[in-house]
Amino acid sequence: MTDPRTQAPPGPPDARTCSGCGAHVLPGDGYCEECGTDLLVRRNAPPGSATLPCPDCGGTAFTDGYCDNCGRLAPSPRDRWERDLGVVAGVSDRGLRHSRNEDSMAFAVIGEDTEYPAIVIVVCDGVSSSIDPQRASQLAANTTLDHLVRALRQGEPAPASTSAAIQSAQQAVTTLAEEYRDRSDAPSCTIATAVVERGRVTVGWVGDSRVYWLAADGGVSRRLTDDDTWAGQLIAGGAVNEAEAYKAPHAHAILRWIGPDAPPEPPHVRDFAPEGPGLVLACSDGLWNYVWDAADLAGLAGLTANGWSGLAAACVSLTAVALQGGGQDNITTVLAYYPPTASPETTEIVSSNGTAPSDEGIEP
Amino acid sequence: MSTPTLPQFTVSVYQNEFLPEGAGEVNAIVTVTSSGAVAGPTGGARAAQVIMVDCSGSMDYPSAKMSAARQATKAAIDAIREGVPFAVVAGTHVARMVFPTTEYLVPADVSTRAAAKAAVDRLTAGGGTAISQWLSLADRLFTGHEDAIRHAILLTDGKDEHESPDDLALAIARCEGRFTCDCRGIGTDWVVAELRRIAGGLLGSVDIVADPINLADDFRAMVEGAMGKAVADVRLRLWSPQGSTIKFVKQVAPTVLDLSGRRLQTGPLAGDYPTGAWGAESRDYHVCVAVRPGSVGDEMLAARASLVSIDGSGQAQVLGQGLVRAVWTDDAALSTKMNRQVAHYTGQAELADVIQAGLEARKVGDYDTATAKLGRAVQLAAASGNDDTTRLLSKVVDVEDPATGTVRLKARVNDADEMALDTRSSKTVRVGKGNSQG
Repeated sequence: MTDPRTQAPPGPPDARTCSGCGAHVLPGDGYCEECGTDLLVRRNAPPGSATLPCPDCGGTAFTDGYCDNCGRLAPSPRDRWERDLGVVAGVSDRGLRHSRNEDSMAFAVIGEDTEYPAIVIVVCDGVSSSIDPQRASQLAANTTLDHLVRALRQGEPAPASTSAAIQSAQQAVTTLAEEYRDRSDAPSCTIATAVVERGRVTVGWVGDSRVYWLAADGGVSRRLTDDDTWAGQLIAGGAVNEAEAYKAPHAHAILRWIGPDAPPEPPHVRDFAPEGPGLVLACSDGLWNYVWDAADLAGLAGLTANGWSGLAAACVSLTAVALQGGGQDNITTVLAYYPPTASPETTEIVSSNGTAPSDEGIEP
Repeated sequence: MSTPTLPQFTVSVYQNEFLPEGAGEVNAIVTVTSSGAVAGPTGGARAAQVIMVDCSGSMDYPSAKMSAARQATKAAIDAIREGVPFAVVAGTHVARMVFPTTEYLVPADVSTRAAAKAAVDRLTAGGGTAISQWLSLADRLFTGHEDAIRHAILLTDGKDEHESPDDLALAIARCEGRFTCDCRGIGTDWVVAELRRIAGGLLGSVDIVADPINLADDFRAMVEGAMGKAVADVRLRLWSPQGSTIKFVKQVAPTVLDLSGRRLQTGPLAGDYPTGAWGAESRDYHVCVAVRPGSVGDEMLAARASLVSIDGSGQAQVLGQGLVRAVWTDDAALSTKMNRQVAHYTGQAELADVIQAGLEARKVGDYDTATAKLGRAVQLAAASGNDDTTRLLSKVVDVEDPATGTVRLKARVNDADEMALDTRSSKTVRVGKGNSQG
């Protein structure tokens, strides 16, 4: 899907075209009269499907996902993909120690030129001990985003929509398990969601992917989710601090997940009213294993005097921190503005020598 | 005659794909299960059967052997399916047609079975033993029946003494891939290694029939097994990446059979290993591949194992496939874990080796080596629950402690017991499935 704003529309300046079918649409239209495409929603493009040559031997023929010549795992467009919708951007990276990127991300902007703009973010981390975890993470991310966008467009409240959306992902991933002989290691993943609206950030999660509030203007940054891990429970209970809790050998073992035979409790949903401008960060543990402190993340994202060069660049910087730290896991980082618009008030959140958020896509 | 539907094959791979940085040896157990023939109006796949009966002079000492051979051959003839072409060959220092009297196969029906059994009743013992002659005649008889599942039974009571070992080796090599052959030794004057070589080359079973009274049931079972085969000329095709070497390919269940030397190159990176004919059955293969060592985070396909069927025109049809992978990790908890299947069959292959080495040492009077090897065998058999082998071992050694493999060689051992242990040393037991993540 292309970003309609990166392409100059033909005809008079106020004429627009439908991103779905190319038909002319009027500025006030909510849906395309021709094909029904939702004109108020922009979504990130999925990972590409291009076949890349083998990085080891240059071979171009692959069977079963491996190079026909040297056997290397076929390079995947998922290995690193970057997407930018201006007010929300993300980077998903394989890291240095895993052979596949099992994380997925999906995000959308709804009604950005209206009175009630919203940004929806979903980050999923495939459970490595399952088979094909990237199938679970991509399916869960897409299903949740679709559900949330549809519900929000119908005017349903974000908290209830979040809970229902994550449960729809749980159903979809459970159905996917029917394709696998052994349910116990069928594809599974974690999930973290954020709905950014004026006055409220709603987060939802299952597992150990996280959402953070990164405050601008010297406000207090904080983690908005509590990990479904042994360590996460200890931290949430206030028993120990994060650095101590995650030293235990099985601290990272997740207690809940999206997939077959997942514990039946409803997803966690929480909302938060920001006191000032800032950024919402959703990420997989490939990032927060290196930097878990919210204030540190805010600093590394560029919300300090280092200069602001946009959300996409901030995602790249955060990813680079995890890669330099060793890149032990897949790294997915999605950042969105609060308030959820590309208006002067959001550009003010950054230091004075920064530039306004970009509209330009950085899709490779 | 309509073509019977090919059986369903399923291929499962059991391995620990995780390797530490710098390692390059990948081990996997490939389990192949075939559903067998889908019964059609014609009663299954086309088959052809030859029975080779030792008629050398020694078969009359005692005469019970010759009469048991006659009874068993008649039982086998009765088990041949209606319409299946067959012949009976008498083996001595030459090979002679018993039924029919000229060199061709006759379809089984009421009158040909009766005529064949009458001819078998007239068999008498006299002459020497030159098994290459028998095999060569069987090979000639199967000519023209290449699209059938070709099966032979070979019964002997003695050493292949009227020709050189090279003659036999040459005959086996010529017959490889032409037909499968189940071999039986009757009495205790035959040589286990000789029959093992024939059965190994011709992808059949080998066993001892110490008591002639059991021979008829055994023959009937072998023919019934052959009639139950649904597809001939099945091969294990291994693709492995450039820069890799296949270290070995062994069938490890139901018996150990090293196929490494049997590779037929089918492409720059692929080769076929013969597995013979398949009915409703399951077999396990241990594949060991050396690949270029990778770095942490790398993943490679170390081998693609396919079962292919070669039809009459030489076309390969893939019946099933499994992937053997290598993933390099710095997580020692993952990379140091030995896959249960691989560990089990590594033990079973060693068990077969130490029994054969132990018996060989015992034969040449090296009792220290024999005690050590057979002690190790007792230990391996006990640990893996291979009760049949444990029982056979206990007739050759006195076991003091199976856990440590402490044994004493028995002073007096029955020849038949020793040969049974030797013959059946390659029989393995399976391990419970369900640990593909190893």
